[in-house]
Amino acid sequence: MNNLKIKHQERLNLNAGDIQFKFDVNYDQGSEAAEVQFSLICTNVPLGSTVGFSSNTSGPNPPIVLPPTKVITYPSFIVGMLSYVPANYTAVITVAGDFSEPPPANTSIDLQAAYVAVQ
Amino acid sequence: MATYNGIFERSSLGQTNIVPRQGPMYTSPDIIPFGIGCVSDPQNFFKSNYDADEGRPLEAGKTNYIYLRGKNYSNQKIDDSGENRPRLFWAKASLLSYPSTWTELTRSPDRRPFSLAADAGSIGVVNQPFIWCPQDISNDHYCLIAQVQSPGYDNSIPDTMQISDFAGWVANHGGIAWRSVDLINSTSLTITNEGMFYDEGDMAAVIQFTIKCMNVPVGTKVSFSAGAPGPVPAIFLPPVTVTSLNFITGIQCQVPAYYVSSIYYNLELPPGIVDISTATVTLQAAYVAA
Repeated sequence: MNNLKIKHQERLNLNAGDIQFKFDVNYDQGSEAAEVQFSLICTNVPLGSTVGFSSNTSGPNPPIVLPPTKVITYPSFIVGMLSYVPANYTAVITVAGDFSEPPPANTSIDLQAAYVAVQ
Repeated sequence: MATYNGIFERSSLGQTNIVPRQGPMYTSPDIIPFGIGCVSDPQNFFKSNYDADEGRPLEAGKTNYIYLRGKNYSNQKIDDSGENRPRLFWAKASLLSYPSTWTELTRSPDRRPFSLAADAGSIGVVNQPFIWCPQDISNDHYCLIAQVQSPGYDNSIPDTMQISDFAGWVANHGGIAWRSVDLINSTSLTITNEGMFYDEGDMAAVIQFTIKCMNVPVGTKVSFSAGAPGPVPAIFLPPVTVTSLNFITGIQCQVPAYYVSSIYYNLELPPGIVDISTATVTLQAAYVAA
């Protein structure tokens, strides 16, 4: 099995009753370039909601952008993209989306930046 | 008319164990085509829904799952395994009466044999679904034929070139079921493959199952599934539309210790696209280690 090493994971601070959300997450690649998986880990997010993200600075190839994507499975859904990130890259990654209905209290969305280390 | 005191296969909802069965034979709700999805706990799910037909259309060119169930009307537990394992065949409707043309579905998610056990008076469900990747069909349709054994009854498939009265044969055998299949033919290039044989090992864990799609055309629909029961939720990602050339999607599941299963993925390309020579698809199972 692959061991997913998390470089960064941040849980968005969702508020009960929110229908739209938008959060800025600081990202720092550190001194080593790497191929990084940027994913949104959605738990108990209502079906039909949309989620996406984008970074505010260039450098990674391809750019760190996930267009708005529909949540199509419940209670768990993961969506993201893979990008080669240069050393010392820093950015603000904005995560945004719309809930299709008021989410339950146990809803969570994590932005995860990880790389795969094969055991 | 007689009672069938074994594991009884209905041809329609509401039937009890009377043979010969009455009405159409080709609508058995105990053969359950379930499409490309699977369930976490089929024993509980299909027992609790015994009064409902949970059948769904199958999708051509993709990995589909088919469950089987039956009610034990005998006064003892029946454990069908080994040589008495439940068996499932597909046939074209036009060739249904010629058993030599049937094809047995032998592929199981965990690569172990099929079995079906039912306590006296209870409903039994096959231990894991049958796997089938039907091809497109036109001017005909597919049928499924199930064979479930019970002590004291002969439900063997006739060793003849032709069953002269197929519906009559089904009606008289409580352990035989027949179902016509609703199939959605493909409308574009569709690919399915075993992406991984997953082995959890001796520790239960929360696992992220993801599919990495590199250079897969935008607009392609990707999905994956592992048919062996156990994980919560089931390892099933319904079709997700690829939105970039370096796309990742998946689900997170609680996986029990010693769980094993093949994980199959399906790709349904946008209409007109047939060149995916630069595309790669990788299934990834990972536990999260900080």
